[in-house]
Amino acid sequence: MTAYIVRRLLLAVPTVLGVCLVTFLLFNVFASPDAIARKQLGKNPTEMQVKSWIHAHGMDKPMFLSLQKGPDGRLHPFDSRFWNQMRELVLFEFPESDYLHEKMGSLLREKIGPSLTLTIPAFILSIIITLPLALFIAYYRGTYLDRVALFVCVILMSIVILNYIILGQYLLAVVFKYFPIYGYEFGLGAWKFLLLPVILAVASALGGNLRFYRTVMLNEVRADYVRTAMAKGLSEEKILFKHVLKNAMIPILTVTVLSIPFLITGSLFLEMYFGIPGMGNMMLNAINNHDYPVIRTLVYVYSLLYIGGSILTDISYTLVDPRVKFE
Amino acid sequence: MPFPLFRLYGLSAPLLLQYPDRMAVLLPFKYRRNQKAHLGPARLRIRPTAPVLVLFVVLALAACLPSCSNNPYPAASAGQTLYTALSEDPRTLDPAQVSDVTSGEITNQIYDALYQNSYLDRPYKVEPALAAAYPDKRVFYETVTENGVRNKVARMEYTFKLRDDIYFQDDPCFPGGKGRRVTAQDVIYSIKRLADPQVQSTGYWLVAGKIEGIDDFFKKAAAAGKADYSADIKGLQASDDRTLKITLTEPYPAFIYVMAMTYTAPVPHEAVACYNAPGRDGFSRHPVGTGAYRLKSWKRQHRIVLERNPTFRTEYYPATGAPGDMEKGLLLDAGKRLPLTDEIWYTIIPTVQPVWLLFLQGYLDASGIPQEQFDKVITKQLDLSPDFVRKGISLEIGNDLTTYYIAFNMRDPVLGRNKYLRQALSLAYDSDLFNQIYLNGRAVNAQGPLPPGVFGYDPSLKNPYKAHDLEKARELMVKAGYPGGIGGRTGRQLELTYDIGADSARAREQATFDMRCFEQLGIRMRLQVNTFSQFLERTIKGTFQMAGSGWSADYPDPENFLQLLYGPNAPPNPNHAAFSNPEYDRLYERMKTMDDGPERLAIINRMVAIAVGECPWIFNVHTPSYVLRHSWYKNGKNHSITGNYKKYLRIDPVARRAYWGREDRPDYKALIYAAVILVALALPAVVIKFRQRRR
Repeated sequence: MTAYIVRRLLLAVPTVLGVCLVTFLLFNVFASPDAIARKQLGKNPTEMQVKSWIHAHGMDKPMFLSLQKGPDGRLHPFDSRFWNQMRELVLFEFPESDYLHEKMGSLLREKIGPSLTLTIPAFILSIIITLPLALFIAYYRGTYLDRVALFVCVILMSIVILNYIILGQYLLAVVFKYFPIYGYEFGLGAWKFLLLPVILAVASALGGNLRFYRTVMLNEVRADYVRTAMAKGLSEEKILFKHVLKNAMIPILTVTVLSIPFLITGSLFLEMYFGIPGMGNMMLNAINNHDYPVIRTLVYVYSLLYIGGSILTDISYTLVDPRVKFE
Repeated sequence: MPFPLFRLYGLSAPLLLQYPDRMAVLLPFKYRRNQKAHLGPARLRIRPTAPVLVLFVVLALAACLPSCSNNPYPAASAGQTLYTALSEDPRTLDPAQVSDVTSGEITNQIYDALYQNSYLDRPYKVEPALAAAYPDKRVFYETVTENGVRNKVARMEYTFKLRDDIYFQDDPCFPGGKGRRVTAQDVIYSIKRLADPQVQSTGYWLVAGKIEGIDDFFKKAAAAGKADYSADIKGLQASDDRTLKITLTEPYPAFIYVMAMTYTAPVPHEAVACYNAPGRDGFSRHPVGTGAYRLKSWKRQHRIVLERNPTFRTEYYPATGAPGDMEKGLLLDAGKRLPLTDEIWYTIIPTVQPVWLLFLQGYLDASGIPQEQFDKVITKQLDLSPDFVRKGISLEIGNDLTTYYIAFNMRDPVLGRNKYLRQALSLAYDSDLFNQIYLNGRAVNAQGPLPPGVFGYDPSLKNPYKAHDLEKARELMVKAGYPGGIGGRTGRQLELTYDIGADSARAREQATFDMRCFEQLGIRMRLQVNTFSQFLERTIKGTFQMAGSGWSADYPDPENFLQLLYGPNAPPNPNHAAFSNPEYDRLYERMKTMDDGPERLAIINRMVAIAVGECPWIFNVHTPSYVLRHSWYKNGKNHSITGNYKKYLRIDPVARRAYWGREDRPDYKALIYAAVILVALALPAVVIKFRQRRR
């Protein structure tokens, strides 16, 4: 298992490097340092200011390889924009946001909390609601309820999250006045602002998850051990909840464990439309403001989380299914 | 309720009671028949099951319902609190770095400069704030030797006197946490910060080349990598704690506007040193000024709360204003001590829809009008619709001091040398239709570079190339050498590129409209969509042909608009068109040194006439602002220049609470109906299954 994890971690190095390279190229090839500086320096920056900004941000250095000798008379080939930025990221010495003028480290600490207050309840509630519902529908397979549920699932899956947000805000916050339309409160007061986005997060994921879990359950229902259990005279509820659910856990785990790291990254749309000051909101703002230090840090952190999540999923297989072995 | 429903599905209550085992699945506890009946009477063994948990969750939610409300604010926050929205987080609260509207809005409430824009007076004017009076101005001549040639040059010396009751807000950066008195040295320090390359000030351009010796200060700091604040700047002198002398390299009356901007507001060096120290999160997050409000809390991308500054100087609500202010009730608070509100809550809301909905619910005190709502809110006569009047909402229409235009690149070989072609394109452009389609007919069709509200704006000006006359435009195309859009010499169709600096659907749509106007002349148009950085780069390099652009006033002086066509301001400076006309440049240099008056007006008129005739821009529209205010929002008056106006506003908390009382009562009937529908949907399946199992 150790060898497997080490191999996966080694494979992660070129993956992360590739992701960072693509981000770097997107931001450095299509806009010159001069244009980036002018964007950050406001309306009428002077020439001297632009040069000073470019120098302070190391944007006057070559992109990848420095072939000129430094002041010490020696060659520093990696004293370039890309490698200097990579060094910062690898050492977790995150840069300062060009837009918010604040260190990324403290921004990350500030934003993770609100994101988790939205994603963790939504994640847990989604599982709590979807799994029993899937079992319920599997239990009533073939009836009109199953067919209606499938039809509703396809409709729910086809609606984009923005529509859930607009409709949810309009109906539940404006017409029926159950929840605030927008806002957030740090601490315990957050619950009333989180109810609506959590409900919408669960509702928007319901269709897809329900169909997926139902399919998994029905595949299991047709297995030999179910027939054996039925032959033994076990009740249908017992077979479903005690045997089928346990065996259906592997594909369910794949989806759920893989999504755990993304709880930290937050939800782009829900955070933006409900004013939750989390990671998703920060990412969208950074994109809108061309805040490259924030974007490159978040892309790096997200890629690490994704790789970490996929390794965690592989490990969790062995925990739930003794047949799975690392080779 | 359950019995009629059961009957509906052909199931009676006695039947349910006959088969308690079968119905156990519906019960909120585990039901077991006692197998050892001989040991005593039958007993129920109860332990929690999934239905129990579901019931628990439902009950918990039901318990929450009474406290559910759409009010986003804690009850304790009402009172003299202003609720407003910002479209984005301020970039910074360091007045030297402000470049965006939101940062300007916050810093203006926290930092006061020596002068401020008068709140009620129109036309716009500045009045003393931290200064005790208007400055003394003196023009004198100096002999300078340049390249061996001796020249006599005019200088201008401003003498400012500071009030003696100005204190910095209390802050831990001061000894004992008590804010100290503001001196002239603090103003000098703040201006020096604009010229410190490490500060990356966005306001340096306002003083660069204007204050004697400031450029040398910048160069030395840039070369050394660090500014030496103890170094003297010739044009910045303090003869005592209250007297500040600023010497300008040439007469520049508009400099008083610079001294009314937060760029030049005094900042305490103690706060800069304290909060910029290693390990601290920066002065840009810890503003310490002299304004009516101070920062109470700032949660990024969430909310900024400002509270009344207890050490704010003695200042009263103005007793006079513009004509009509008395009738509008804007002078009712005359003579009251400022600020009138205790707190300002700025909620960061990047999208338009929540702002609008929160305003309608009364949780924002004022709002603009989203474009898609305009027809519902404003009648054809440009009045407020009766629905809104009934709610006690009022409307104010004001001037925005903006000019939108399409710039021609005067360095482009096709457009730059062909005045007739530019004039033809201008004639083909339909600003009125643009205004109707995209701005609900709200905007003013621009005839020149100056917007209404700025000295020199002439409402009677009729630009002959803004008449939208396709016939005349086609005639000019012939003169330009492109009859029907075909090049006379090449025989090929003329192709022009149109650049825009935003990649939104709306920007593309508007650009498509612009291009359709030009294509009527037989020209083939190509759209170049850029990010803002790419757009800047193309304007700097001069690689564009035509570009949509706009300008909002930094200060209400015509110089701020006319500089956009001044030759030496060519890219990378803001003269994106790279327009250069010797007469225009000469007049600009004269005009900017003059005070408002008939002579200055005559020069401005001539400059506008040159710009109209040469056609370096297609003048598009000047946009007005439409502001809606609730009845409890008192003393609101639209102002186009960002300023410290929140201190004049007052809230009627009783009226607001009454409105909230009508708006925040949840309607639970819908919830009950939804629950009934869900149960009704699921129940038949349960019954069918129950019957199957019975068989």
